[in-house]
Amino acid sequence: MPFTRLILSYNAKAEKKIRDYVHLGVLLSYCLFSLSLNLFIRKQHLFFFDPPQVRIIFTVIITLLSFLVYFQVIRKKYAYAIQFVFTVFTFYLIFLSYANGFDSDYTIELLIAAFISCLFIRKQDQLRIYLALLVVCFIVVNFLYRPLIFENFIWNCFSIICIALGLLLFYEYKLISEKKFLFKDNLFATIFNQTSDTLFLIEQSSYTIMGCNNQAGKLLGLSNFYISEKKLPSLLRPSGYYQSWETLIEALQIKDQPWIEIELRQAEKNTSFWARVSISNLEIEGIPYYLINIIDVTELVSKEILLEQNKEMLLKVINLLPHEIYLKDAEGKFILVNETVLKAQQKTLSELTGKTDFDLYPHEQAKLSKQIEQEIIRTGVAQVIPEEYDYNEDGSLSQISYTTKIPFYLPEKNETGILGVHIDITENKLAEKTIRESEAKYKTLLEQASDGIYLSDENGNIIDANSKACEMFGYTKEEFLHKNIQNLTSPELSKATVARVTDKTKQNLLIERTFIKKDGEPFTVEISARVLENGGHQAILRDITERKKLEQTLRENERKFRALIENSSDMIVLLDEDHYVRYISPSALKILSYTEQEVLGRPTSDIIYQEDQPKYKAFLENLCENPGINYYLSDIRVRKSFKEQRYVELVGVNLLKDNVINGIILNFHDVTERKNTEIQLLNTNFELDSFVYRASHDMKAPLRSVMGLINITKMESKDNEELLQYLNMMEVSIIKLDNFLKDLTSFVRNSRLEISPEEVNFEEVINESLNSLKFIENAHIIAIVKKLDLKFKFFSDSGRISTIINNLLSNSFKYHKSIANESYIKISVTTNQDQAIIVIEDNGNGIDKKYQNKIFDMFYRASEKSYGSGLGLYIVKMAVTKLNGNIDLLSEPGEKTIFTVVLPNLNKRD
Amino acid sequence: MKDFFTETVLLVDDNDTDNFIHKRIIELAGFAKNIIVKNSGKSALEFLESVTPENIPGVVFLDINMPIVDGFVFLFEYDNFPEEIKKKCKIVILSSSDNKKDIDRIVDNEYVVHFITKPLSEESLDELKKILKK
Repeated sequence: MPFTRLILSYNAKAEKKIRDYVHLGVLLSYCLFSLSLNLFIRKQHLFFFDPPQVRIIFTVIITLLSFLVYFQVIRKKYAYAIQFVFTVFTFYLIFLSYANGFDSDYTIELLIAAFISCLFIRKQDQLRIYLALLVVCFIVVNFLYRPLIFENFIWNCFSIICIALGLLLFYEYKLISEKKFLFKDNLFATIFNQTSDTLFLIEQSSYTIMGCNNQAGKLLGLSNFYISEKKLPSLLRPSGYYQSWETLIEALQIKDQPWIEIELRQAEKNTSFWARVSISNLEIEGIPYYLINIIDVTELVSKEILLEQNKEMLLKVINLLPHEIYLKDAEGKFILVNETVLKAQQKTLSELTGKTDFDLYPHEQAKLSKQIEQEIIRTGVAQVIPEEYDYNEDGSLSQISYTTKIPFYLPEKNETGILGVHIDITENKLAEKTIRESEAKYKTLLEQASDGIYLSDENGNIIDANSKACEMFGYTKEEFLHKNIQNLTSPELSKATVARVTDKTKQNLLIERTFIKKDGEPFTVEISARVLENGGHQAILRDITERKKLEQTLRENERKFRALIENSSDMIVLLDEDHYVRYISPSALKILSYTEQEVLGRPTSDIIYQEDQPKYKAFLENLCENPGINYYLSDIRVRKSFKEQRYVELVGVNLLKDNVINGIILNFHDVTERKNTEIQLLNTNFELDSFVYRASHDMKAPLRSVMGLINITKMESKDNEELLQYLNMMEVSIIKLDNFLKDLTSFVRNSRLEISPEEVNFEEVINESLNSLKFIENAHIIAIVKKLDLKFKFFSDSGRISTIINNLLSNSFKYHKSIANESYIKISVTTNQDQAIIVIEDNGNGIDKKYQNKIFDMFYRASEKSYGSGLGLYIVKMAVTKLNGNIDLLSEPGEKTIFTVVLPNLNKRD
Repeated sequence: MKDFFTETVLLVDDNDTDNFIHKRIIELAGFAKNIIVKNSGKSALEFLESVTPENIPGVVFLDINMPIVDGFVFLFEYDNFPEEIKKKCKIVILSSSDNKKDIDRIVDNEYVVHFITKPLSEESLDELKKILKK
């Protein structure tokens, strides 16, 4: 390896010096030798011309110059001087040789001197000139010698030329090879020393530094002299991962890479630097060496680190950006994406790298995107897509983005790719949309508002108004927009209004104002105004003319109702929730003869008569429990000024939950007069009843007495047929009279007495009736058929039912054909939940059709055979009516008579 | 079956005619041997107060409509009589009233056993006998 050899021959100059010293030594020793030879040996040959003074001078000059050369450490000019002097000496030797007749001694000396002289010549030209001069001189000197012997002359010339040629050949080869060597030497030395790399040659076994270049000294801050022969680890060692040179070398060998970058530590300075180290094995003269090449890359590394940091920071920044940033190659494959993209696609970087839009987006969209990108690459012009729509797999809109795509040169691929930035503007767009919509809504709202809205500047000039406002003022919008709000109010108010509206200290204002319409008609509005930043104001006008009218109506209504209440004969009392009087109508005060102060805030129970208070209390409780329902309470006595009592009827409703009333309304209706009349009527009725009762009794009693007497008489005069006949006739008349009285009494009772419902025992009633009728003539031959179906208890007025059945049965008996084994009376009673059906059927005389609608009339007697009063069926009808029932007649004259009575069951009313 | 028979009956009626008729009927029917007639509630009560045990009537025929002490008053006072009298005396109402209310009101009384509408007849006495036998 030439480079290695070069380093080994680093000491070539020193060698040259030594060689120069050798040359000098040879020269000096020659001079001293020739001098001593002349002084001590040639003295004997006195005929030779050889002055020793000349030789001494030469020797002194050359010695002197040699010393100079030595001390001046080979200076070229002295070297040249020596060369010159010695050349001159060789020419002097040619003269000596001539002068002494070409004696062999001098010729040999000349040859030696020429040989030595040639040693000093460094250049080919000089050598050639020197040798040529030497040959010419010798030939000339030889030609001039007398006696000229031609053979000798030729022989001498030939010899000298041959010797010169030989010298020339020898020295020329020597010079050329030396020159070549020198060139290489210089070249390598220059490269070795001038290279920016630091080179160390160390012995493999001991790590001793065998050589280093100048750079090494600079690197270590030490002289080269100091460095050599030191152990490399004592000066420089790897730090960091590789702790020693051995491990480093091993690593390099294993890794099979030309160099490695490591941190090196300088042992003496205790500093470290980054270096790129390459190590090669080499062997010189059987000894293995390492050539260590160190390049200081501290700056490079720090630059790289900085670059790395910058890159990292940039990446962080890019990743931090909420926008999607990606780098694609010419084919549209992703090379690099930031985290936003990864997040959006929910993929890792490795998953996404190498994918194209076709893998991520619907085909159409990807195709479009690809087209755009191809165009950018082709033209080299960046494109901005203001709104790019991304769709989900199901086709729904996923995002809208503002996309910028620029051509981006990819050095590693040597092609143009695409750098894209997606800015998600979905929210902006949506917000924009929302704003547009809300603006539209606001516009609609403004236009459709039932209130008038206008906007004015600081001087009251109307800038904008909705159609309602225009409508309110009666102007078209164009007209209205040229108006000033001051001119629209009534003149005296305008200034005040505007002053108030434009008063900035009052931000919001709610006032009532009267404006003038286009047609001059005033109208009242409620203004809700708001002063704006620029001094203008926005106002909402609500036409309250209608409201005013309504208020007026309300007031009138209130007055009306108040008048009604106050002038009503009814007492109206409003109670709060604790039943204290909150309001009492003047009429009530008048009726009760109280003052308002005496009643207000006191419980109403104070004015209720003591005995009626429980009833009243229950009534109030009932009211409180059932709000909103009207309740009625009758016959309550109220105290009039603690002395007199009044009867009232009471209607109450609980309106505590009603926001307006928030109380219990009681309406007392004075019924004292009516009550008094009722009492009076009751008394009258009672008197009448008593009278009837007494009268009937007092009439009956004598009749019964007479009947008793007749009975006794009959018993005591059983033999007197004629008398018995008379007595019987008397008896019949008396019975007739008795029955009439009975009818009369029942009639009066029926019409007067209230119904007193009780459970009716039909069986007992019928039996009693039959019992009382059994004495009727031929009664015993009539078959009685009773059919009672009394599964349900029946409630009604027993007395009246008895009267009804009694009368109907009595008729059946009375008007019967009385044929044995044929005549019958069927009595059937059926009760159910709602009613009782009483059917009394007989196959008696029947009733003629023409009388059928008259038989229920008072005192009407349909039969000529009749011996009744004509009251019986009338009383039946009355009693049935009283009991809310119905009576029907079905009769075939001479065939049968069927009375059907339907009576309601009164159990429900209890 | 042996017929009901009582030694003494008391007739209480303000109407003397009725008293006569009733007495005669009772006699004719042979209802009782000894018939005491009182023409007012008051005298009837006085009689019962001072009656000797052998003279305690088995049946009292009582009219309702009487002046001053009527049937109701009589029954009210009768309540205060000693048990021995009340035990023996069976009160039968004999009235011309056929008013059901009157009848119900008086029959509800614990001492009244029967109600007979005037005039008293042999049939009604027979019926009474049947009731008293029980």
